[in-house]
Amino acid sequence: MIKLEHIEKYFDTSKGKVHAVKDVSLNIKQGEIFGVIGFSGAGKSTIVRCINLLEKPDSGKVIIDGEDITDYSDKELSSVRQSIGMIFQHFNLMPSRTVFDNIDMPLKRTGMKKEDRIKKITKLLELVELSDKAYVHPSQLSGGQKQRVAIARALACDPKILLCDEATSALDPKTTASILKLLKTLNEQLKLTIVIITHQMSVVKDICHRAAIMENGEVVECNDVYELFANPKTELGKKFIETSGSSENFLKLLHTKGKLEFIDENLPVYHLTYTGNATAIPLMSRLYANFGIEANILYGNIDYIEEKPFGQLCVQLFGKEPNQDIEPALEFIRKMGVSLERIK
Amino acid sequence: MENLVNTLLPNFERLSEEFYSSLLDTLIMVLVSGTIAWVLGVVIGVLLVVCKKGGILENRFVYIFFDRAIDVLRAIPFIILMVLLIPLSRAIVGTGSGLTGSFVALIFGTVPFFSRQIESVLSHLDSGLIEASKAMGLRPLEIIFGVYLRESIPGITRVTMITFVSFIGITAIAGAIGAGGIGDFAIRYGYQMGYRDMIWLVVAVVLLIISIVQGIGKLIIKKTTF
Repeated sequence: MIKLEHIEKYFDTSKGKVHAVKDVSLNIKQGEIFGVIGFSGAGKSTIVRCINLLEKPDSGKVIIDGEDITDYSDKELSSVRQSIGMIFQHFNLMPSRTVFDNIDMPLKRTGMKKEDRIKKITKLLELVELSDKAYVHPSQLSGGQKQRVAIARALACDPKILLCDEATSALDPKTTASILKLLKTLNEQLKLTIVIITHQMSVVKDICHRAAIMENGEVVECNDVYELFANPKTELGKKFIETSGSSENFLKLLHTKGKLEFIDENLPVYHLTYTGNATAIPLMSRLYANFGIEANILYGNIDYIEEKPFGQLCVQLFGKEPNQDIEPALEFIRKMGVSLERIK
Repeated sequence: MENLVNTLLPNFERLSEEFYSSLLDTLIMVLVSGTIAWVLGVVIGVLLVVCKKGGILENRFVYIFFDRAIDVLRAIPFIILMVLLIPLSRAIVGTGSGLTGSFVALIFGTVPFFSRQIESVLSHLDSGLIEASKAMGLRPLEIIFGVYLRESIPGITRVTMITFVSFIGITAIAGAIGAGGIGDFAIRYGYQMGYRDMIWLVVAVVLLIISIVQGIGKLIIKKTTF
């Protein structure tokens, strides 16, 4: 659907040339929600702007639906862009126009008859649940409502692709959730391919099917979101995953404080990550039954990503007898398909 | 009523006809050269913004040409500019003096100042709006009229009002060196003949014109700001 091949992009700044995107290749499939996550300055906004060529790559190819659009003229691009909707962090609605006229902007130029446009806009407003706001100006709307109008505007010309540039970053958590839910619905009902740029791992976790992690202009990791969480291959990947759950708080406490009153400091702390089938096994009680090993749970959480369970535990293990060897127990845990890491 | 006019403006009865024709000259100057200057100023202001580096129709040559021309023209005091432009005025409108001869100078005296202000208004427009328009597939002309100009109506109105005041100022100067109008009237009767009442009359009329224009401007801004 969307194919980026070896994209390179440089920017001239006052401090010299900046290599903003380094040899990025992505293959985004029809009908999926694809996330691009990275800290600010990672080049993710540039890469999404290359998809509709708001930024022209210095080299590399942009292929949409099998068509290489990299060298399209401005006129040709104008029609390609009608089939690619885009929404932004700061909504970018026209302040002098009503909600209705904002959505009408891309429609008006298609030559569609006025009655048809009115019908279409009414439908779009129903879709984003803002039917009662057609004739108000954007300044009278809340952030979430503004983003809904922006989504309606982006969908006006029935695009196959929707690009979201930090679309939820300016919204509070509750509004973010409602916008993400709407995007998910659009993905399912309209078979819309959605590309989401974000620095919030929770956004990726909540609705993306696949995601790429970017750092310094490069894609360092790209995988199914579940795999990304279950087996992060890079340090950055791990860092983002930590930020998405509450284990971050515990790990921070453990690493910065060094000594915690409620933890026996003579015992090691293990971090257990279990995915898929492993979550079905009553692991802790088996440890006790089979090996006489007790576990003190310091942190625990089970998340559901794409409806699949993903669990994390931080435990201290100790035997009934003093100085009991816990190695057989650790071996058992590994055999059960749970990844184990000693973190202290 | 007549008595009151006679007491306050003892010279008015004698000079009224001349005053009205001066006022008409000023209005013609304002309407003709003002309208042309407004349109040119908006066009050049738009060109400066869209041709600038990173603009939607980036064009180094056009940008540098207008940028420099504005700097040069703004540096020349208006009264000197008028004399300088006499040959150009003869070439364009056939005369370098009188009411018709003032048009070219008034336009050259106003456009640089006004287009700079238009440039400043348009470049303060949220760049996200331009980006969103491009993403919607809008073509440059649609962006200029539908976004840059339409979304800047309050700002354009504001700088039009500011420019209008200084424009009235230069029509008075133009009047003093042969274009007629109330500036000329004020110099002849107020300064050379020393009729204080005529100076007061001119001041009152100028204030009235400016207040009317500013009133309309404020109304437009109020109606177009959301």
